[in-house]
Amino acid sequence: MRIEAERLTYIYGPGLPWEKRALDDLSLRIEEGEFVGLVGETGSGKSTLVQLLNGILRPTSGRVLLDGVDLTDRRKPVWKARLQVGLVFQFPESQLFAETVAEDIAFGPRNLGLDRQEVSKRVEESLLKVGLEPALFRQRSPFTLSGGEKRLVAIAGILAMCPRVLIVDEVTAGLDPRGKRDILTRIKLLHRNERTTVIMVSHDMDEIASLVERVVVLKGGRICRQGQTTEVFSDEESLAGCGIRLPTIPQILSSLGRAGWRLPVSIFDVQEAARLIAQECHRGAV
Amino acid sequence: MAQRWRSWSWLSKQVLEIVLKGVSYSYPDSGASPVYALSSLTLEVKAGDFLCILGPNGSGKSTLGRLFNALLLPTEGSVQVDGMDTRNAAFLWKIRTRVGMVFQNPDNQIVGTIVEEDIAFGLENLGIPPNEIRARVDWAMEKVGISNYAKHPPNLLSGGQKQRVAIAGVLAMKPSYIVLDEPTSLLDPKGREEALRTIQELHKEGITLILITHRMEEAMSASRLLVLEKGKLAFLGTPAQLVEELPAGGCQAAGGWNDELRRHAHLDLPPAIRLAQLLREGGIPLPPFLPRPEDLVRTLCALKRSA
Ligand SMILES: Nc1ncnc2c1ncn2[C@@H]1O[C@H](COP(=O)(O)OP(=O)(O)OP(=O)(O)O)[C@@H](O)[C@H]1O
Ligand SMILES: Nc1ncnc2c1ncn2[C@@H]1O[C@H](COP(=O)(O)OP(=O)(O)O)[C@@H](O)[C@H]1O
Ligand SMILES: [Mg+2]
Ligand SMILES: [Mg+2]
Repeated sequence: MRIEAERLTYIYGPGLPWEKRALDDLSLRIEEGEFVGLVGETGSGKSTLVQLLNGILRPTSGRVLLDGVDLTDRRKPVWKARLQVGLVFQFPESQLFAETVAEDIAFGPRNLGLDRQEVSKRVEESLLKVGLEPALFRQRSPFTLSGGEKRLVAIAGILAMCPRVLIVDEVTAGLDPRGKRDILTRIKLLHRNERTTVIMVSHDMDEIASLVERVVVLKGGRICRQGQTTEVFSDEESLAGCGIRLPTIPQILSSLGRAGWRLPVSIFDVQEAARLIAQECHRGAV
Repeated sequence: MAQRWRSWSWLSKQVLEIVLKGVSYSYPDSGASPVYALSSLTLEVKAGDFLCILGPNGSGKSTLGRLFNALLLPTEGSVQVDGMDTRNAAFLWKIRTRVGMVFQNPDNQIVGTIVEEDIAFGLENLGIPPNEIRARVDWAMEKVGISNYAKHPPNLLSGGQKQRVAIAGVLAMKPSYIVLDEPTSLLDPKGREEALRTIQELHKEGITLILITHRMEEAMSASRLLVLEKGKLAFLGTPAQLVEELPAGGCQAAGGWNDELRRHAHLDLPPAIRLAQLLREGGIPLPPFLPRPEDLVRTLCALKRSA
C-alpha cells in the first residue's frame, strides 16, 4: 500500500493559549513495500504524523492518501482503507482494556467481521509471533502482566489484523534484548515476505540503521533530512543540526576520523568496523 | 564543602544496608503465571552500592524493586532495611522515606500543577514544617538541575526533564536508597543522558542506587550487576566480569558455552563493547574492559600514537 502525505499541518488546541503546531506543511511519499525509519528529537512530531497516517487524527490542513484513497474525505467511507494501516501506538499497553489477553487481541479481528474460528486462530498465531506462550497467557488479565508482556500483547493485537501497512511507534522501548530482537525480526519478515509497508519510529539509531532502507528525520514538525540510510548516517554534523546522533559504530568511526584515522563513517556492522579499524592499526604498526 | 557535607549528612547517621534473606514472592492472583515471581533470593545491598538489575521481561525485576521499599511484602523470607523488617507495619513510613522509588513513566508519578509543588507533595504528607520543605525543595531542584523550571507546569517539560522532576521529588525525602525502575526507557537519547547523569551524580554524593534496566550501556557504570532469570538469581558480579563471560559474537553465537552462560542468552553487549572484543581477538592490545565508546576511542588513539 502506498502512502502519500500532502502538505500536512496539524495544530493541537487551535486558538487556545497552549496552541501547538505539531506538523507544519509536511509532505512525504512512501511506496508500497518500503521500510522507512522515522526519527527526530522528542516533540518533533513523529507520533502526530503516524496518527495522521492511520486516520486517527484528522489534519488541520492537507491530505493523506492510501493507494489514492483520501483519508480526510468526510463524504466517503474510508474505514476499509484505515483498517489496513496497523498502528502500534507509543505506550500501547495503556490501551489494553479487555478482561483477558485473548479477548484483547480478538477485538480487532472481530471488528474486521471475521468468524469465530478465524478470530481464535489469529489470536493464537499472533501470541506466538510475539513470543508469548498461548497456553500461559491466553486467559490472564492484561493488568497483571509485567511491563514488557503488556507491550507484547498490544503488538499482537495489531498483528492479528494482518495490516498492509504496519506503523510502529517506539515499539521496542521496555522490551528485553531478546524480545526486541524477536519483534524486529518479525517485522523484518512481514516486510520481506508479505511486502508489508513498514514505518518505524525509534530513538534507537542502532536499531534504525540495522533495519531500514530510508530514513526521514523530523524537526519542529518539518522534514529536516531524508534519504538512504547510509547516506543520512554519514554526515554527523548535519544530523546534529536535526537533533539526532549517529548510531554507535558510525559515531566511533567518526570520532576516530576526527583524530586523524582514515575510516569511512557509515558502517553499521560491528565486524566490518572491527576489520577496518584493525587494518588502520596495523598500518600504523600498533 | 561544609555546606555540602551538611546537606547530605543524613546519609552517615548509621550503618546502612538492605538485606534480603531467602526471599520468595508469589502474586495472590497469578493465574497461569509461574507460581513464584521471585524465588529464594539472598542479597545484601550495602551503603554506597550502585546495583543494576537486568533480566528478561517478566523475570521479576519490578517485583524485586517493590520488595525493597515494602510496596510488596515477601511471601517467604525477609527483607530488612537498615535493620527494619518490612513486614513490621510500624516501620512502614520510615522505610518508605529511606527507600525512594522512581518509575518508568514520569507522567504517572507527577501530581503537582507546577514543578516545585510537585516536589513538595511528598514532604507535605510527612508533616514537615513549611520552611524546611522550602529548603529541601530548592535543594533537590538544584541537585537535579531544574531550578529554572520551578514555576513551570510539569506537563510542558520534556521527558528527560520530567524524569528529573520525579527524581527531585524522591530526593527531597532524603532517602538513603533510590530504586529506579526503567527510568529511561521512555526517554529519547537526550533525555536519557540527562536522567543518567543525574542518577550518577546522586551515586557520587553517597546515595545507594538500585537501577532496573534493559540497557546494557546503562548497566556498565554500575558497581554490581544482578541478572534475574525466571525469578532466580542468574548472575551477580561486576560489569567487567559479565563482559568477560559473554562472547563478542553476541548471544546468538552461543556455540561453545557452558549452561551457566547460556542462561544469560538474553543479554546483548553494547556495540562498542562488542567492537572492542573483536579488536582484542584480532590481536590489538586493548584492556579487558572499556565501559563507554569514548573509552575505546581514547585507548585506540593512544595506541596509535605510541606506535
Ligand atoms: N499484579 C500481578 N499479579 C499477578 N502476576 C503478576 C503481577 N505483576 C507481575 N506479575 C507476574 O510476575 C512475574 C514478574 O513480573 P515483574 O513485573 O517483576 O517482571 P519484570 O522483570 O519487571 O518485567 P519487565 O521487564 O517486563 O518490566 C511475571 O510473570 C508477571 O507476569
Ligand atoms: N495531545 C496533545 N495536546 C497538545 N499538544 C500535543 C499533544 N500531543 C503532542 N503535542 C505536542 O505536539 C508536538 C509534537 O508531538 P509528538 O508528535 O508527540 O512528537 P514526537 O512523537 O516526535 O515526540 C510536541 O510539541 C508536543 O508537545
Ligand atoms: Mg512520540
Ligand atoms: Mg518491570
